[in-house]
Amino acid sequence: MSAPVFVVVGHPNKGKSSIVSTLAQDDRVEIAPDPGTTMHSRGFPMRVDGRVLYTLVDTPGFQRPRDVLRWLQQHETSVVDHPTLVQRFVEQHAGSSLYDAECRLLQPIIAGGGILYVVDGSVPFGSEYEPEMEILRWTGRSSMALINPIGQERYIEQWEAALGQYFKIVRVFNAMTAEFEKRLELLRAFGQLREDWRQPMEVAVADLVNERTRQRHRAADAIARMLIEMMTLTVAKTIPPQADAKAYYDVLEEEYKQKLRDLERTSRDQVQGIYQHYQIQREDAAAALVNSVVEGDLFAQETWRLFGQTKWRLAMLGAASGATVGGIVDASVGGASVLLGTVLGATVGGAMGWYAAEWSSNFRLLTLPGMDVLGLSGKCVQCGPTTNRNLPYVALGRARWHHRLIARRTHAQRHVIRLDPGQPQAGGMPPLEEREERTLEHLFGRIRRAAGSERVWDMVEELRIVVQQVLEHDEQA
Amino acid sequence: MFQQLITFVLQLRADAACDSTVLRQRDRAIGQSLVALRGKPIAQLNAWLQHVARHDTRTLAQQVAHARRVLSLLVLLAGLLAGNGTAALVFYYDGTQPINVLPVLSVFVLLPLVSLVFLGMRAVLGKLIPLLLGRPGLQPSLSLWFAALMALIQRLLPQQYREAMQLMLGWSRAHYRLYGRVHRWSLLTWSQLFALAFMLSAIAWFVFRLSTTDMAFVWSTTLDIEPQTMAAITNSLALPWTHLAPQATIDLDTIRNTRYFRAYHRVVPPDVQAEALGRWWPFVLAAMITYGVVPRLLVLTICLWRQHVALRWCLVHTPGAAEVLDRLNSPIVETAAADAMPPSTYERLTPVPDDRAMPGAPVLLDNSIGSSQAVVITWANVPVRDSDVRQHILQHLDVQVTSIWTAGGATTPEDDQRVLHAAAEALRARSSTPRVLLMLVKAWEPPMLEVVDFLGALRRAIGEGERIVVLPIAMSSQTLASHVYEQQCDIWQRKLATVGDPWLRVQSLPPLVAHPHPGGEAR
Repeated sequence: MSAPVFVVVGHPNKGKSSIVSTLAQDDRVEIAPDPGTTMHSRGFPMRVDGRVLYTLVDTPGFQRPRDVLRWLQQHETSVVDHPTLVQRFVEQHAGSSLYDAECRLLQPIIAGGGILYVVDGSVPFGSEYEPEMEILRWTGRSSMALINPIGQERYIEQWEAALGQYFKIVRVFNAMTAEFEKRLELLRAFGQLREDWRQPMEVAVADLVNERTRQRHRAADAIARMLIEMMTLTVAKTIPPQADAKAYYDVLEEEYKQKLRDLERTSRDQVQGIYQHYQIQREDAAAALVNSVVEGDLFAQETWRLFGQTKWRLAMLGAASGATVGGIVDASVGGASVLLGTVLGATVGGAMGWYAAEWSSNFRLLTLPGMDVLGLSGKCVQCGPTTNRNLPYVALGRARWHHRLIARRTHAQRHVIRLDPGQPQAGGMPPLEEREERTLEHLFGRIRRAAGSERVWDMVEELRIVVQQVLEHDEQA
Repeated sequence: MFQQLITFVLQLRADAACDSTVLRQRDRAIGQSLVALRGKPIAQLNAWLQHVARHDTRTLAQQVAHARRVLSLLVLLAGLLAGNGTAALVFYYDGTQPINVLPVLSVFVLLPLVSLVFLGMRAVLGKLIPLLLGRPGLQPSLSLWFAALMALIQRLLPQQYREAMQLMLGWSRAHYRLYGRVHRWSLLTWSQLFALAFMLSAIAWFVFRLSTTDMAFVWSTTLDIEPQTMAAITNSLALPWTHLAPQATIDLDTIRNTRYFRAYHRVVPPDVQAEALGRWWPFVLAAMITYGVVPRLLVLTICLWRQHVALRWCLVHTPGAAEVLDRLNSPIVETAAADAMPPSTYERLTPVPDDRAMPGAPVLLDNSIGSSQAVVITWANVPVRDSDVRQHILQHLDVQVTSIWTAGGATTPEDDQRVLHAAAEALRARSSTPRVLLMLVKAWEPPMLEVVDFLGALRRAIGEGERIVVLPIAMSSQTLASHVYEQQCDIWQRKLATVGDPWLRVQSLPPLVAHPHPGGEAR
């Protein structure tokens, strides 16, 4: 049995390519306001390991539907022959420039494709659509109408009334804003067009859900690695034996911060690639997103205010973490310490959380004994790893925000990523759950202690699991 | 394993320049042939390398591995030379003075034991320091030291190996935290290799001298050590082999007899049989083997094993390895277009140029059509009343509408032909004021080719020179934002520019207050 084929047809500029772009998760589909942008039919097969489960076909819009309908009516002999007549029309006019668009859009339908007729629900119904719908009815194929409100959903009811006369199934689907679940619903609905299409569409939906989970897994992995890289990053510079190390602090600190920014940029590129958003990178390079917090500097004060933890929160988390360690000591001495360990641990942890909230670079002077004998400098200034407790929270907050934008963004969207200034703090991001926060604080502490050692990479998987949970919650929120 | 890691790193570097889709397809195909290795990442990565590693990658990796072996050989050679030289000094015997076993034991027993203790302490402290101080221990310094040492050593290598080593050192330095484990165990392995070679060479020299010279051994010290104490020390040292080789132990009498004082000035102490001076060598040899060779061999084996483990660990943790495993094990779900993007697409993604600047393109009109009369055709049933149209045009264009016709939409092409002729007739009717043909179109609907066809037919019907003005009309009830309307007008303007009609214009109008017209018939 051949895989189902869905042919997306309609008036020019009604969002056919947007729907295909969103469902095919392909942001390289050409979308432009000018009619006739799509000049050829183009297949978008959904394949799993090469096996095609279904194919979407993007087509050019109707250009001379009244002429086509007139031809069909002139040659009509019986209602039974309608599909054959459409086929005859295509055979006779294929290759002619006059009905090029109509031939190209009708060919895959004649070949057995289901019809997805797309209209714009933000503009009123007009009688010029009737010839198109009539032609499609003549093809005798299974069909569905999709109302894609490109602007405000003002004329949905009017369209539903009109389309209901030609199509058994009419659905509203906004290609620009449809979230993943909505897309899956639509694909399931495609399966209702024909009984034998239901099962392959169910399989396709299941595969897409699995792939979505894998994408989140990969994104979480990229973010976890970025966090570890950031927390353990060091920048070192060998200096002459007699040189004053402090003279190198400014240069080294700037290099250090730049590397942190680069790490974030690399991680974002990875996340965008994972979700197959390739065009955003081009936009990033060209656009000056000065006002966007997402694109704002990692070290900007506003960024830290939006995405970081407050001093009090860090102190509390530090206290909780310290109390846990102290509690273990108390338990190990059978309570003989009269909870002194817990109290001491909480105090020290809280104080460390409070004082380590502000950004400050951490410099060390390394001396390598014996190097001068070998003719090498034995002094090395090192910046990092950071002791700042807020950096991983700020970086994670920004990564969560970016991930949510990317994961929710449909592939039909072509605008640059921008933070909506009307949105509340941190772009309306849900706060971390208490349990997630505690786990993260614990993990961040372990990573800080293991900084400089390869043991930190053993923690990638642990951190990835927590980050993945957070990303899942963000998407659901 | 080292060569595999290098090949892997080099292959990942080569892959970084490849298209991700190509990599995914290549690796997934390999992954499907490796189903039996599921859940064994190292085996999977090794098998993957067998499939993908290119010849040049393998060659370079072989050179790096070879360079490393050359380094190991140099370390071995240095150990042999050092051991031989030290043994020659410690076992120096010219027949005038006996050999004092205490320096021998210090160099070949005590020193190795102390270094082993330090090694153990380093291992323990390495784990304790981060826990106690909350900061990294010796690792960064060690890694930097390793890098500096390697940089120095690679200068000694031949050109071909030097370049390969430089490449790997750069990579290793960039990821020193990741490869720290390999650095540490490599350093330890080389140090143990050196120590083992040192001891074996010393033992070889000792045996050679024993075989070729009748050597005399005594023990001598300035310190006030009783023979009983010395016996206790030697007995303790001999504990591991007492039962295996009792002849390699030293009894108290021998210790008493072979004590040597500075006043003797002769090889054989007084009242001692010369034969007693030869009883020490089995003990010395057993001590060198037991405390110099066996622990080193053991530690070297552990180091080699740990180095192997570290290399395997690095293989899985190298940046990019997780992606390879993901590509091997995850099915490829593709939803994008099957064919490559048409080359013209990229060009079209760039902003469309402003056609108003193009020669021959219609331009937005000024008020030049004012104070004239107009024949109006509404296209595709613009849903407004005739009276509204008349009023709107009069108000904004200062044009008196003489007749209104409807074409397009649900009307038939034959109806359109009739409208064409009627409009042409109306336009040709004699009048004192100039006339213009206005065509009202829905701004929110894009211009289709049938509109272009109609405009072409209209031009043929009315003849050249007559002005046709297309008015994309928006309605206030649609609350279309002004910039949207401008964009829609631009679309109409660009499309009609393709007609090439110099008397065809597009003009924008303010939104019309809607009173939807139910019908679409010609009036």
